[in-house]
Amino acid sequence: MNTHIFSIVTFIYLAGMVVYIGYLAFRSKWVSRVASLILLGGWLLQSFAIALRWYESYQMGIGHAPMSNLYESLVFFSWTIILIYLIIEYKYHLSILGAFVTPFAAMGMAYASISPQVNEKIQPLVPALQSNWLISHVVTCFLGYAAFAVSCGVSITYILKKKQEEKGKKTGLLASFPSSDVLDDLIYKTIAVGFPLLSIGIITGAAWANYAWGTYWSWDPKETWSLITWFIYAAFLQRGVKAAMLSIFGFVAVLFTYLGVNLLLSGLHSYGAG
Amino acid sequence: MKNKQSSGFSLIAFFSSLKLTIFLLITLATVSIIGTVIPQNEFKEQYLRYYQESTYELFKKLGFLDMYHSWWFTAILVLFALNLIVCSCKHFPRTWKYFREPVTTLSDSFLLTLAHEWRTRINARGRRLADLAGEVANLLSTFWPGNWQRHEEVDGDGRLREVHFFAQRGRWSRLGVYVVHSSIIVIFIGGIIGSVFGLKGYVNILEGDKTSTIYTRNDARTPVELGFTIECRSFKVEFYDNGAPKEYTSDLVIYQDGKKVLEKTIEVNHPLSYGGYTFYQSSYGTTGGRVRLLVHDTKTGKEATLTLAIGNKVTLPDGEAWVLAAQYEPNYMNLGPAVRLVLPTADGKMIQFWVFQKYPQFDRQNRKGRRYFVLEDVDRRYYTGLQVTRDPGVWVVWLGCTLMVGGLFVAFFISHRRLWVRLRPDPEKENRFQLAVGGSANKNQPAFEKEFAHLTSLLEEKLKGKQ
Ligand code: HEM
Repeated sequence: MNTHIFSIVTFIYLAGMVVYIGYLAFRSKWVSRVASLILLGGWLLQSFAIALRWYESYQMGIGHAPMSNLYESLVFFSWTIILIYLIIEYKYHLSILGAFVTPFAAMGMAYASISPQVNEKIQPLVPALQSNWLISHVVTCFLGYAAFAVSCGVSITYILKKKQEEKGKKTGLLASFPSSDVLDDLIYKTIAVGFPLLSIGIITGAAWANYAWGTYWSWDPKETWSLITWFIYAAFLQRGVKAAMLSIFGFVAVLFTYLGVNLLLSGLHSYGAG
Repeated sequence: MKNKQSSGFSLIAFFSSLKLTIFLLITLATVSIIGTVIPQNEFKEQYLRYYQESTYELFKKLGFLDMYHSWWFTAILVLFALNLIVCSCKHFPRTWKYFREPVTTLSDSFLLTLAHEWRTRINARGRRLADLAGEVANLLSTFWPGNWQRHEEVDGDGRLREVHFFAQRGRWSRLGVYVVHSSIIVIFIGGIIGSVFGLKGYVNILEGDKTSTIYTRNDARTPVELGFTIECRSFKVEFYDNGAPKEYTSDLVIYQDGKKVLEKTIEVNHPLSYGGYTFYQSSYGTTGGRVRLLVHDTKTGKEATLTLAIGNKVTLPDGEAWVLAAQYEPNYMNLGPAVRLVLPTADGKMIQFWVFQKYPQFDRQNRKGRRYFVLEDVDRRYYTGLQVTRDPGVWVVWLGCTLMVGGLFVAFFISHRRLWVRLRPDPEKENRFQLAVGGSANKNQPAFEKEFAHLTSLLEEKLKGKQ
């Protein structure tokens, strides 16, 4: 049942993405309103479906929070991206960013729903995952990832805008974007949210590993990639670096930590965490 | 002498440079990738399956097969730690001074540097400077209750010339960065303590057995004495319907000098700690044990009971063939305990098949050979696989992590807000005062802007409203 709703949510997010891109072209208030409403509607429906999935897992007798496999994490990832985006749109009135942020969420959902590599069944938890650490670890990591996704979207906008400002053009598609200073500040803010969350995510992961296996750090590829990501954002925080580029780099590392490690490196490694 | 000093200075400049930090962080990120692409710490035979012998030797020389412990990776970490320490030590005194001795007076030139400033003129209407200053002080303490510092300037004749007020909030946020930076060093120290004084080992204990020694990861030959005895009283494993293990638990008992001191059931995610060691449920297995089989010969109608160990074979009672109990599985295909048997056929081939303890008729119904076998009993003993660690540095690591999270929150989310107010007679006109307000915040400008506007409108309304 829940997976059907998630498929619908995928289409809603794709529709939202199209309208946001349309907003770039038409820039009428009306269009951005519609886009926000579509997105909010999709998000509410998704929240309901996540709760439903949780409930259904209990009905199947293998109850656990819906964050335990790739499918569930992709869904949760998209959910957090939209949540953070909606908060920023509400606070800063930056509907223009939608065109650069919603694609991440829409792609995440589409990948979850379509890819044959992603199993959408509710599966029982192997013993290693039966822990309260699971929720705190996954939630903090994915909130962090989502903040970085938004930051990456803002960075792309920033680079486009900066180019235009350097050319001194006052018209065209980019003219209505917020100034590069505002965007730069927003890149910093989103990373200031993402970085502590990623740090807590790594720490809770280490604490959990220590509790379950007695080693808080064993340099497995997942751990190492999360640390690589952390290094990149730590470099960002020291003054005097090209912030937007590092933020995009950082997000590529996030994606690799999240998906690449499982899909590309697992051939040679097996992880304790399963 | 002079030479030496200048080279010392440039070394400090080198180590305190942020360029070095960024270079090191990016280098760490980049080289760390190697260890995620090349499998680490495997046996030579395993490597030779993916790599040529020469590649293997090269990687081994370069330290790529255990790169996170290689000398060069350690060297980068040491450089990084030095960078962090030198840099923080260099910057800290200035921040500390700034923290301890804030600028408490508002000069005209200083006012110009502030992002938020506001000036107005106030009619004296008979009030003296000291009276008005009292009114201002009252207003300020309703706005930000608490410690406003007051500073008065008097001229040569001892007459009051200027009154300054200063207050700040969230000055701690200036120290957040240093907390974050030190936390990294604390975590390093914890890691070092762990690797010098700690131990990682394992032990397998048969159900019902005891042991007082374990083995370390690196050396499977020399046992380590625990100084106490640990017993695995019983072991249980449960399975999901799909055959995956659901949970496995061991009842452990600890004896110190022959006396029982601790008893605990452990499972994955729920370890037991005693005497500085922690025992984690990490795996399980079964020993071969002995198998009791019933064999029924449909040709002669005779039945016989055979007992044999896993891996052994016995001749059948009819003397015409033998049977080998090749393998035991506690829950094969999720059908419970099963044994794989191997039997020669009349034409000299081998057949193999499974028999299940829970389904005595299985072989009879499925294979339809001359003889059928029933698995009556397996004397199976589980052993519990325990991971054993001793890590006296782990608390230091958690301390560092806590500091880091706290420091990050302070550094990112607490804004250092400062307000200055200055009151003095207007030099241009008798019976008039000048009021100047300056403010600065290092974060969240929009919120501070509102706060600043709130203050100025309060002053405007209350001080001028009476005119
Ligand atoms: C992984 C390592 C590091 C992390 C996680 C880290 C973290 C941070 C954070 C969170 C800030 C505050 C940024 C802000 O408030 O805008 C900061 C600032 C700073 N860091 Fe680091 N840092 C690291 C390594 C270093 C190193 C090795 C140095 C030595 C050169 C250094 C020097 C500085 C300086 C000078 C500042 C600015 C301080 C200020 O604005 O007053 N950092 N760092």
